Amino acid sequence: MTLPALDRTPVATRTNRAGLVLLGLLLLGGGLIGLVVGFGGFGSSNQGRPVLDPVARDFAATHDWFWVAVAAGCLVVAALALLWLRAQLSTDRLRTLNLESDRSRGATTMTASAVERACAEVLQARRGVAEASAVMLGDDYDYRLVLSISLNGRESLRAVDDVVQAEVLPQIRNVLDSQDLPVRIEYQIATRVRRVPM
Amino acid sequence: MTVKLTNRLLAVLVALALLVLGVLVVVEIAWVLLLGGSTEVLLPYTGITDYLAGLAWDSRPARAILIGMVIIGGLLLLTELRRSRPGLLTLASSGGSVTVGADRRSVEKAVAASATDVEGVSAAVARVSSRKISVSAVAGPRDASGLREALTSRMQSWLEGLNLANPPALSVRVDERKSR
Repeated sequence: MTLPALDRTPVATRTNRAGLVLLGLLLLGGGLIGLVVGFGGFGSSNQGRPVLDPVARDFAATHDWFWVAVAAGCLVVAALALLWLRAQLSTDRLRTLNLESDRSRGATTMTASAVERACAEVLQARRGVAEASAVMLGDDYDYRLVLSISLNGRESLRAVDDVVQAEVLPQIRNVLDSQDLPVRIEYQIATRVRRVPM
Repeated sequence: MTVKLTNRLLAVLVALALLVLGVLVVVEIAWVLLLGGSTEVLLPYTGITDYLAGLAWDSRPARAILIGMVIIGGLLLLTELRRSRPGLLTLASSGGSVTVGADRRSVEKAVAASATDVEGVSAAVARVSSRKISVSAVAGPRDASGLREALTSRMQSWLEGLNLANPPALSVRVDERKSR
């Protein structure tokens, strides 16, 4: 079983893919239809006609409502383009953790970066771990933790994973008071045994 | 990651172009219809429409433009719809609310490094997909008989040590040309 790579900006990724697929379809479809016209696929009388037909040009020149419709279409396109640009700034990363599930009792929050730093420090102190980082994703009431752990090759992956799951995870979950906190652990396997800094 | 970054750059450029073009067209239309203007404000649309009015569908420039559109559109679709390789190989220790995995790229590097540790292998590369782990090794100058079996056995035990949830099939290829 495999999993896709972690995406911290899923909205931007999905929007970009959809937008670029649409652009690809428009270019491919438009180009193919134009080529078919040019090679006489819609009748030999059409293949020598200008791309901007004089009939269409005259129609546009004598009907103001046509330009109003074009302007409205362009405004819609510009608005969609603005939303597309805005999607680039979206992130799934959590800034604050809400520790109080009952809103009537007030709010107790903790900055996510503090939890992330603490997790990384706890992990880095473990044998077999060269580097570690943590990131919290989601929203205030539905979040998950992602741990990235680079191994130094001095311990097997299985040994490090046993320690992380048996000792480190319960510790983190206790601090966050969330025994069923969804966690994703990503191990970077060491190619060679790395020296441990003294 | 590279595809994602390229997508993002391309998306920003296309979105900016659409935004600017959309606004400019509205400005030109408003200038003519509402303010009674008769000349272009920023967009050289007279030149563009005159060029298109003189361009026949079967002319060489029109075909060149259309072929360019087909190529760019096709490449965009191929890139966007291509199935990406997995980011993580799930480990058997996953369960409940914990998902554990080994980073695919690091597995590829480690598999290649482990393969070169086998006596008689001078270089190796590995490629991991969701179904298969392919190891291509180059044999050293000495006799390479039995090298494939030794390498397969080494790779198999190395992969077992990873404790993958569903280990992909292993494919080992030894290039013996340089050993002759």
